[in-house]
Amino acid sequence: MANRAVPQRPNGQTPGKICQFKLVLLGESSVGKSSLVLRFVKGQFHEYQESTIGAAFLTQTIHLNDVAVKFEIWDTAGQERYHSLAPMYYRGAQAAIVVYDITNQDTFERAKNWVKELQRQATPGIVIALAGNKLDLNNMRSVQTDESQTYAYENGLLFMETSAKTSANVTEIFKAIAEKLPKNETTNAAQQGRRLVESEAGNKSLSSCCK
Amino acid sequence: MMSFKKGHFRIGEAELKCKKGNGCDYYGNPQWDGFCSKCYKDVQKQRRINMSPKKVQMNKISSKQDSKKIGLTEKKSKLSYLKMFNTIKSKDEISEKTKKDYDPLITKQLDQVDSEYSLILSEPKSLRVDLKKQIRNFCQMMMSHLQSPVDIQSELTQHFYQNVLDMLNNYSHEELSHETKEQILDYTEKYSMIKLYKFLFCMTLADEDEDLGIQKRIRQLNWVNAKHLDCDIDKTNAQIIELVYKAILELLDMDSATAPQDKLACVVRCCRHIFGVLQGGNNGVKGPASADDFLPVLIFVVLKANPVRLKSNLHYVTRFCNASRLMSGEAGYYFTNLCCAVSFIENINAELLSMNTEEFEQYMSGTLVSDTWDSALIICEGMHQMCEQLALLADLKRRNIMIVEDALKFKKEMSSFRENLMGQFAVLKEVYTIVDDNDQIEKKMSVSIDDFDPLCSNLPQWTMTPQVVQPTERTRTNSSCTDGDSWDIHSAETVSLHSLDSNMVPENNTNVERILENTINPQPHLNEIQEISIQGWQIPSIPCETGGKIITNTENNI
Repeated sequence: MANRAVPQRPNGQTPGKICQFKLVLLGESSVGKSSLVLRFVKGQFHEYQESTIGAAFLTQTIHLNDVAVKFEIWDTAGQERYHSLAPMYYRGAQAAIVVYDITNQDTFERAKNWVKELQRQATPGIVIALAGNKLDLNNMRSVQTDESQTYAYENGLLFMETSAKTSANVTEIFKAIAEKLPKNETTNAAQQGRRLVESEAGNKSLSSCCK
Repeated sequence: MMSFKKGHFRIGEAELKCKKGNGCDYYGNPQWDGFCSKCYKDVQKQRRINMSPKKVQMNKISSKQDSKKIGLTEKKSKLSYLKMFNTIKSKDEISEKTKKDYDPLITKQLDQVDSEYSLILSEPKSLRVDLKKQIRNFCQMMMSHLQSPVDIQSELTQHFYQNVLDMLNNYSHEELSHETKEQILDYTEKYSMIKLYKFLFCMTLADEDEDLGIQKRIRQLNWVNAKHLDCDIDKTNAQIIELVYKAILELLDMDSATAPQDKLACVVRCCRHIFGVLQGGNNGVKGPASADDFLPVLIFVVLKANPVRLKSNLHYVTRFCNASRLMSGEAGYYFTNLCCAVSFIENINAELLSMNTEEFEQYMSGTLVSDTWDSALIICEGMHQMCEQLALLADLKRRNIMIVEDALKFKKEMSSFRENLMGQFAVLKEVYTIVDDNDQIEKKMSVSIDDFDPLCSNLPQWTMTPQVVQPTERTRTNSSCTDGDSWDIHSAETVSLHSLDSNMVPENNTNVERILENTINPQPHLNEIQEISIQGWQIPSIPCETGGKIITNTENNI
């Protein structure tokens, strides 16, 4: 795999060649977050390779012009009970994909909450994409494209309806994110360190305010 | 916790034993300089005796410090509820510590790190020198900042990492590859952190309190089982249980690692085992597990492991590990998950476990006791052990049966051999009886010679005498027959003795046959006899051996 050879950490990146970004996946548990990523990373749906033991942490590199954009994809637990833990995951993330299921209105409402939370608490300038998954179940649709389109437009989100099963729009949404990400950003380890410590301190108040 | 097999910890038993070593089998204690109480007393006495009068005053001071130290530790417990003091251990204590111990264990670890990275560091020599200098400066700086708040210490450390990275980036001599830089950074971090571990790990009262808090909390939550957390663990599958144990072990092992990346590596290994657990589950399609499945199992593992100084370990890693490592990469991801799991455990309530508040309270207060996973695990452990032992027994049984079978077979072979032998002898006897019948005097003579033989068969002189005696009997025609018989046996024996000279046999055979031409019909028997004597030459009780020898002489005479 091409991305295996690519170094792991963002600091010390070769300028103009490889950009590494942390991307978090948010969304309720049954919307197909991990299927989406697996489709993107491995080109698979259901037939998994033996070597893939987890879909929770994956990396994939895509090429835009002469820039290699390496995504480090962090999956999050979607269950409601783990909602309060999400800030720990999206801390320091440069991009996020909020996934909902087009056949399930509730998941869309949850997705809206995620977006709100991200805009309020995540790294300023985080690129947020909204993905309406399970496009292959179009006939069972309960969230209309127009509705989510408008919502995305109002909130400045990237929006696409995807299908992990047919792989429709899967690579496209990642590409769109890659294009929107600032490519000349130099990730500063020291800044990150400070940020980490601060958020560490602010962690408790955060979790208590979620209660 | 229950006993784990295959447990491996980084601290060997020998390192825990009393430093005095030979003869003393007790465990040492760091407070007593690694001696056991008895040896420490002895050492103290020695020291006091060795102390010259000039130094007595100093001794007084240090004893004063000792008393101060004791006072401090007492105070420490008193202060614990006053959380206003972030750093507690007094300067005296720390500086004393630094002077006192150059722990051989740490030196050993450092040497290990050095040799581990020696290949990368060997290339540009100036780099190595620079790096060492940087590390030394950093360590000195940190030692002077031991009393600063941990946040500042952490900041300094991160700054140091950044400095080293800058140095590597601007390294003039040659362009270093990204990989090399990473590894050099790793080395720097590992080396300096192992060196400073004692002073940076778990140094604040707040940390200690948090450790105890979470430990107590987890103990209270011991009734939480896999079902409460909705995790998919196949309790009946021995392999899965094994993996759960491995994950728990790795998590427990985190405390004994010193460098932040070693601690992270423990977390990563633990999480990999968890993915193994998830893949082995029996629920639907088993593909790569997502975070939805992963986090609950991790929480479960943390609950069941209840690692010591958990919070301290987490704080230590967040503060002193290269921050970029925590923000990205697999290790960073798993570590974040672990933090999430701990945070979840801290905030666990009835709602989060989807049960009603009353029930939750009852469980927490201990009035309601469920079939805890602990007991389930104990049973499973028992079952597992039983299975293993049964397998062992089965194997032993199989081997035993094999041995018995072989023994029987051998016995049968032996008895058949014996029978065969006896049969052959019967035939042989028959041959002899014929001879006896024909010539009784001959027999008598041979028997009488038999009796003497064991003592003097090897004496050449004795063999000479018959030469004188024999010529008188030469006229008997049948004597040649017996001579031939026994001679053949004898020759067969010598053949078997020098089995390598097998070409001897046909020669002798022709000889025999030539001699036997005028005998009646013992030829078929003779062949058999030859075979037997080849096999059974060692058996000493063959009566014809002696006869053979004696008669050989007679043959010679002919």
